[in-house]
Amino acid sequence: MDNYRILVVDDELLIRDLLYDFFTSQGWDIVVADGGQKAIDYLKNQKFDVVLTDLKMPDIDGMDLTGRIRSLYNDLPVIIMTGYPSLDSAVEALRFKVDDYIVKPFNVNQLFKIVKKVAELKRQGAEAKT
Amino acid sequence: MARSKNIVVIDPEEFIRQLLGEYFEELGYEVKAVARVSDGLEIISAGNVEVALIDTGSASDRNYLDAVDRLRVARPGLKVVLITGYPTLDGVINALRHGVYDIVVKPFRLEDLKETVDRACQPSVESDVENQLRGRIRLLEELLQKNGIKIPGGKSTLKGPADKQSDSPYGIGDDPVGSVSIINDSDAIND
Repeated sequence: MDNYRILVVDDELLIRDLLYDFFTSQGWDIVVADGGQKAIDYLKNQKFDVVLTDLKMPDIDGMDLTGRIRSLYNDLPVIIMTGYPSLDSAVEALRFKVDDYIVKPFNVNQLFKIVKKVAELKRQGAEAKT
Repeated sequence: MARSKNIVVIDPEEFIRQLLGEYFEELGYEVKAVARVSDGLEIISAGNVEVALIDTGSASDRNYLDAVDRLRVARPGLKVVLITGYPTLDGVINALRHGVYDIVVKPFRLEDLKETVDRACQPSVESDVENQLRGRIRLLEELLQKNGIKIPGGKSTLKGPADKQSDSPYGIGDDPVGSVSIINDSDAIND
């Protein structure tokens, strides 16, 4: 089964729209959040295969969100995307066991490949456990 | 009394091997210190090692991530800590993709390294099954690639997020920062 459910978190409407249209066109179930707090609210009530989050956001930023995800849903894959990459944030992401760290601008097809691989691995891991 | 924790130090410099060996042994760790990755691999395959400390100088820049993969395949759940003098964004992102546990930048305080190793030795909630899968998938793909065998349909569910195949969005260890940035004018978007 190729249908995955993704939570995209980005404060930029353009990115949310772009990713919403793209992932939907690929048959994915996508939920978008415009900030970390809204993402946390969604995570409390819904299940996702992967979270794709921007780093710089006004309320709860992507790293804080990742930290909260790691403490609450440790196995949930998280991919960070950022237009402001830095050594510090990459090291922090590594320590949070982030599944990938994508630098903007990116090609949406290639981003999709990365996200799909992460989601597939997650599902294979879950199936291997059962 | 808790059992002692086993760590392997892989560092080309004898002085560093000795220093870290003595330091961690005094703290109650069982330490094996070797100069080469292949020696470390042998120890890790044979024993119950929790943590491997690898100086990235102990393998060439292009190869140390390969070494990380092999060590983690040899012992799923192994925590690999890289010690590096020259961290780069590209290097850290690649390390992240290969499941490196932490990166310690030289010069470092022994106390800081101890904290990292102590943390790494804590019981893990990370899924060993996923680790094992990820490592074996990558090794299998490398094997297929080396033998010129294509995965049917060009679509593999076996790929890890950080594979080295030519259709990978980015080549691991091949490029500097360029391997991280994914740019296509037609789809370029900015934060």
